[in-house]
Amino acid sequence: MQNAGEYLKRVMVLGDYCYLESAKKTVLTVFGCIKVFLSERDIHRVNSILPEELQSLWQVSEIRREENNTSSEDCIGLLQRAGNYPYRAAAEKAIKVVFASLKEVLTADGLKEFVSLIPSSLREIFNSSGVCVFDSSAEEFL
Amino acid sequence: MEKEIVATLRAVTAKPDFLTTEKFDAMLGGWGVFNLGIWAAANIIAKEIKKGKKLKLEVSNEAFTDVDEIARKAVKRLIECGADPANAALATATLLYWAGVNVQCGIPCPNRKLGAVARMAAGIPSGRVSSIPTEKLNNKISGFAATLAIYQALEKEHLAPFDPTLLPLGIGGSPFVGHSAIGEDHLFPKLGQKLARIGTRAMLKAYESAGMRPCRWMSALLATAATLEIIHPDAYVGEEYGEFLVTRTPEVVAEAAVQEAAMPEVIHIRGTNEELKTAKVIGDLAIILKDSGTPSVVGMIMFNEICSIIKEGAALGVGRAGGPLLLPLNHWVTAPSLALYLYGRGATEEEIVSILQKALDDYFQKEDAIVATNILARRAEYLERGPLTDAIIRATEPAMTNAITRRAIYAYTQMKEGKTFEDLLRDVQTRHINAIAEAVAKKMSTMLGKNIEYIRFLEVRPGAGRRKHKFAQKYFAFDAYIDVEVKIDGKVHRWENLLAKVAPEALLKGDKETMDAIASVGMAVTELLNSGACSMDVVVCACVAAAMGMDPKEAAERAAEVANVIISMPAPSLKKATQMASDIMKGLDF
Repeated sequence: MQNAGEYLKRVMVLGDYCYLESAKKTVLTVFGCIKVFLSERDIHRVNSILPEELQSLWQVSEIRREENNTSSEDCIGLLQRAGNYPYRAAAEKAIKVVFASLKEVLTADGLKEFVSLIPSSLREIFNSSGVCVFDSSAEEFL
Repeated sequence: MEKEIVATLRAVTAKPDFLTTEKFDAMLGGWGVFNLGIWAAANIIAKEIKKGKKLKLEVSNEAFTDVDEIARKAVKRLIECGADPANAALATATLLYWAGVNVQCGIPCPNRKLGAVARMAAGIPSGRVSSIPTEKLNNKISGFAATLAIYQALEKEHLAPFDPTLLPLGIGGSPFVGHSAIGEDHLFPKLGQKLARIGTRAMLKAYESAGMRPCRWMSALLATAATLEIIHPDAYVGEEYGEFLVTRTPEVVAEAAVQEAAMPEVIHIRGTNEELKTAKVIGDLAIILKDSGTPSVVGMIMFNEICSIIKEGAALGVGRAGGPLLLPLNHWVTAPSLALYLYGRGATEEEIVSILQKALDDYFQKEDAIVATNILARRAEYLERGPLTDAIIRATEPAMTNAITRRAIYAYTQMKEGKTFEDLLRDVQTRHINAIAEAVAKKMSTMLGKNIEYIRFLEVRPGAGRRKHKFAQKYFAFDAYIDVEVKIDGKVHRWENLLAKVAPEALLKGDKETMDAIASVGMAVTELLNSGACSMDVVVCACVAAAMGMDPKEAAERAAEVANVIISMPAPSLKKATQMASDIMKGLDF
């Protein structure tokens, strides 16, 4: 990966998005929602394990205050509202896409640390986020 | 609440077909239409999803997969509901596609394709694109137009990007070409895109020559399918065309067809606004069409209607019953198709209910569309109950109850205050016509980018004078007389006898200015002609009259006579509804 643009192009493929902007919006909203559930210290830790090219995306991602007004809401629920996803499973898919993309760019140690930091409700999604592309011909080998 | 209103509410909803002039049982017979079968098949697929069946074509080492099993069940149900086997196969494959099943996987063994899976579930032979008709748009053409043009071009020109006589001996059909740069980077995408453009142009031209507005959707689809009969339909392509393990030849071929047909690059799902790449959808559906046998015209109508969950449907020609027009109910499958799309993606019942309600906003006559959707769902439940009809009924029942109750209260109050039944019907019909005019003017202003200040129907009645038969004099749909005035961008147009005189004269003379102006009212006129699809306004009035003591037979006959635009054709169910209202009224003892 040479830059954030290249990463977003890959997200576009993984999520089957039609526009680069949609991929960027997905990444920023997912990052922003995860940050809501992390301590300041953990936000910095995630930043440090991300490749340099992605750190700026992580840093600028932010959920606007009015979107973060329900304390009982889980991360997926918050993402559904903040990202304006029409149903919860669509929000889950967005998280899956971002996790799949991170699996391609993080080191093994980085991945281990990342999964230990994210909200526990997202860990199952993380584990199942191997292949997001539609074509299943090579799935078992990936 | 007054007994008369209670009796009316119960009577009009006692059977699903009391609120329409259409004949629901006839939707299940051998004359071809099978939309209720699609509602049933969609429920079957949803129930299989609920059981945890895998909706994915995979390269698994097994003779039959979950998708094969689901396809067999769906095809069987569709055939039981009146579908021709080839139509059942195509509808099954298309429903499964929108439920989330991938259309192809593997090379070379197993090489599974969704269209072929459904075709084999139906036990029918394969077909050819040249034999696939288009949907009926009054007239229809077939994929023959694309096939013919493609083969004529192949005969006249050399279209491959190299001289194939130079290929080494004995490598025909081998991976030397098929799985390498020669095929994947050059032959398949380059030839495929050329053929798709030729086929699409030929389809568009054939539509025009046969007196139809060209259907961009079907032209791109059948041209892509015809091309995939020639080039390798499963091959991955060079990185220049798309990512490995993601993009195959159907999408690449479809890209050219989409461009040639001037379709938008991105389309959306009704109710959710989710974005889809047009070329991906066209490529996927084209490969289904190529493999699923030879559907009939009705099969292609249903195929299109299943796909009418695409928001841009009306503009592109992707089905017609998804809105904004209120079409005859034998077209309607958008609700189960959309519900299945959502269910397959993991949406909850609450979410599906909410999205369906939103999607119903797309109609000019929202309340009528809600009623139409509800009564179809309830009739479909006689055939196959399931999570989709559960959600659809939940989505529509509150607004339907509200619409019927409001009308019943109005009719009762008006007649109680002394208005005659005939005057009430005239009043209700006028309000119905005006509501259509207002809704169409508003939406068409946006669609056409014009300021349609108003549409006014000055006279609307049966008997435009084209036909002498008394049947045509009695029922609006068979010889409609319409005088209409419309103000567009400050200019007033007024036409007398629009359908029998003005429109044909302008069209035959090539009077573009008049035809462009008529475009502003065209959909409103169509809404009037299709009014019988939901006859709620008249049925409620007639049932209130019957509950208030009028002879039920007379109430039905008088209603059909006076409200002769809304009841645009004969409706036996109206008499049954008024009889029911009268019977209920007599039985109420509270």
